[in-house]
Amino acid sequence: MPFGYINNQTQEIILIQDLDHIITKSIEGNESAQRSLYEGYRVKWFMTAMRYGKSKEQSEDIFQEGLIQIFKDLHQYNSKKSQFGTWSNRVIVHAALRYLKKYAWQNSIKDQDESLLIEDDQETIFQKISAKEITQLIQKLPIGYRLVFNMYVIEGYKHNEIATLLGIKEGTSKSQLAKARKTLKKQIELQLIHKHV
Amino acid sequence: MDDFIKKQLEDYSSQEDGWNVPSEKHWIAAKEHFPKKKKKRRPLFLILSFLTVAAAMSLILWTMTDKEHAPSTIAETSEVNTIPRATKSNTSASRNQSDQEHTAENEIIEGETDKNEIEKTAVPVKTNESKNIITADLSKNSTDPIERNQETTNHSNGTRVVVPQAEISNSKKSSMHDRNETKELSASKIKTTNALNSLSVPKPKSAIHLASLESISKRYLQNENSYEKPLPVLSTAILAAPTGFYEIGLARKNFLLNLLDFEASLTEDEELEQGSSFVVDRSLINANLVLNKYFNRRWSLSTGLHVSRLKIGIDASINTLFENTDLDMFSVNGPDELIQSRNGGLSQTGLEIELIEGVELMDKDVLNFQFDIDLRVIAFEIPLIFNYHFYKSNFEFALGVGLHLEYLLVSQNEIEVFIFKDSEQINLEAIQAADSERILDHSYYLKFGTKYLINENINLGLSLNGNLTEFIFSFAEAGLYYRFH
Repeated sequence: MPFGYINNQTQEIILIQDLDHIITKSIEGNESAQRSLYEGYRVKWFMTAMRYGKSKEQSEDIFQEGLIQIFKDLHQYNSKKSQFGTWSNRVIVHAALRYLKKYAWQNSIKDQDESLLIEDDQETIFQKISAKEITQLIQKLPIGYRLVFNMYVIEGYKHNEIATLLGIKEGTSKSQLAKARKTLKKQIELQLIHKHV
Repeated sequence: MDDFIKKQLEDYSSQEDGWNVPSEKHWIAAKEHFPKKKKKRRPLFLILSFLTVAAAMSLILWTMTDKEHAPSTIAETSEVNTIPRATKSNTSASRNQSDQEHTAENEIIEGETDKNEIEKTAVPVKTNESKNIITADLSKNSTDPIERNQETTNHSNGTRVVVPQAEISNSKKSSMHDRNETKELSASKIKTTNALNSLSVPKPKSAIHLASLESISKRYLQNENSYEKPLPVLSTAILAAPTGFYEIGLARKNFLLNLLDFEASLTEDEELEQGSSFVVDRSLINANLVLNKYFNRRWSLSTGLHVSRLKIGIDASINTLFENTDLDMFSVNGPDELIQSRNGGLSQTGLEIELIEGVELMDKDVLNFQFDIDLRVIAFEIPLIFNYHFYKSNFEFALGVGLHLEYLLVSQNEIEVFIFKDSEQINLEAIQAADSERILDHSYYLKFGTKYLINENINLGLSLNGNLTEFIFSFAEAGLYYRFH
């Protein structure tokens, strides 16, 4: 994936074709390379952090911790195993989980009802809502719903993986997802009604 | 719904209102915590070590050479003064065996000698210090050692000074040393003609008999009139306190951790995999009270009290290969000694590490341990260092060896350990409680120091102190000192 950045001093647009090269340089401590990597992925990382935080402040904290973690762990990245975007996004997710642990989210998830499961919906009305609004609605979800929904729907974790990472049962993960969907759908509908009004 | 939401959220282009673009302040804040570029300090350390050792050896050799070639240094005049004038025998050990029969009568003879004895050919030789011209001559009569004599010629006034050198046993020699023909060179003569700087001594075959010259110079330095050169500060300091003195000083030390490449030493553990990193922050507050007792101008004992507070923060990311034998690590008790003090006392409280349910570890999995350690050491040290001193101009050099008695108050923060496998955390919360301990310990030191003597009381000092017990705690010390004579 070719991407680049603007050198602040020269205003020169620097295009970097080889991601492996820039990662190697970043590991060596090359600040330009680190900046380039950041410029290339900052929106993705920030949007991920936004989905996990309850508020903008929380999301920014998660983003910053994730950012530090990405560059600390950069030497562990293996381009043969996964794409950098996927790997780095997972680092952000793990940073979010670590951050949210402070709010005892495990208990809040474990206590949920495991029986409720609903079918997925495909509503055309959703297409009228923007990414920003979706993100804001996800932020409003209870923490358990938010985590499971993000991890399953957006990041693509499986229920057994989510259960392992969050320390919950697989059934709990499924029920949390169902509730998250239901709540989110309701919220989106309300949002659309509010728009029409 | 899932697909739609996912699709909407996978548009990573910057929006016009900038809601999905992070503020620059996050990058600036995060950048401070990125692993720092490793600096290759080892070569610098090796070069500095080599230069220090080379400088020390050069100074020692230089001092020794000076002592040999210029025996009439001011420092030795105090010893000369103790030699009874009546003895006047040659005390030099370097003189050849024939000197053993040499008496006061035949030390210095002025005037013509027996023609059979000596025909002179001058060969000037310069010494380092006094630029004396030493003349050797035995080219013609060297075959007969009995007739050999040492002759000293004062070039400035043409006076010839003959110093009998060879074994004297025949009749010719006795006539040569007839008191009527000899005349002792007076101190005033030496003074007026600057004789010390122009004495010429014949050279027997191969050896230059500097000892003879030494003997002469010593004797004439007894006369205060010949003592014209102003004494350097160093000399006055020594002469003022021939029996020893005390010195007190205030100094500050700094550990040579940077030069010793402390970070690199942490990552050189063979069990650590590539990619392990340690980001180290250090701070040191220190003051040293120094007390030195000089027994004489060569030997002294350094003691005092060093008070230091050292803070070391280590942000560690350690990659290690998991082996089945490591499974014990994840039982009820984790690694007991995440940090280990020198006597193994710290961090005995243990650390519980439990894996997240469902995580399975395979042999040869690469695990990444991450933790931050803040270590604080308050140290009270009493040094006991014996020093050997040597001098050059206004500089004093010292080589020392000894030990520091140490009372250490060591404390570490609460440590939370994260374990990752493939960048995913695999352990539940693992926190090692904060801990502290008090330690009585000692370290052996080797010291090389130099002082600049501003005057006979005040001097500035700088020393390198190699810790032989824990080399990483070697330090440099700089201070200001005052001498009580």
